[in-house]
Amino acid sequence: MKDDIVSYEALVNVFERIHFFLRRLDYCTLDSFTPEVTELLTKVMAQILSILALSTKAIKEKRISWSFHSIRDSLSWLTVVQRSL
Amino acid sequence: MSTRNKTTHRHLSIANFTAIFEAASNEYRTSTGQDLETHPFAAALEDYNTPDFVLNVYRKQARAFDKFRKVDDKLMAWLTPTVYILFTVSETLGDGISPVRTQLFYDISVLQHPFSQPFSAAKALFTAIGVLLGVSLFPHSSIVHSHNSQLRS
Repeated sequence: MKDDIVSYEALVNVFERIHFFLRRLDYCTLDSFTPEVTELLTKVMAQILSILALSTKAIKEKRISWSFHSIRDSLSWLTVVQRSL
Repeated sequence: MSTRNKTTHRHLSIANFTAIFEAASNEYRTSTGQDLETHPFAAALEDYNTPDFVLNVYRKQARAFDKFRKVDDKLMAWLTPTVYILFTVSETLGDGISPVRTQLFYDISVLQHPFSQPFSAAKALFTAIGVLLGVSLFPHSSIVHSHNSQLRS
């Protein structure tokens, strides 16, 4: 039961972080749509898929703290991408 | 830039998009052991065409979990805008939101034949979100099996 609660909190945290990143990205994409932006957006979507994979694997294996470190690193990368948009 | 150059550039962008996302999907399969194309969640999203359709599938999943544990609204509060933004980004990229197979006809000078994009990136992401919800909310396989049957019905 305790593990389930930790998993649920971790899940909420993952979606909260993804949401905050995407919310900022949304403003960027509305104005500037160039081939370079297309490629960056593609990489962002691929990176989000990677974050979802890490989270799924970590929660399945109950390695939540490891997951958070990996997710934090991935989101740092996303922030760098966002700044270059 | 000439019209022909623009067209070629667009085609190359689509080719890059497909290659990048296919690599990510393969990495996902290796990492999680789940195939995004054949997962029951992909079937549940077969006819999706709006963010609300996707969110309803997630709500159905959360409600099924609610039978076992009380879930608050925090999860859907973060998921709802996320799904909407992913839809917008996906449309911006020209990713096939349409539930039918998207035929992308390439310039004959770029590729020698029409290219079929069988699985949209947005659908892959929405399926991956559903898989993550599944493993988090239904950690016990018997519940997952029962839940997957409900999603398919």
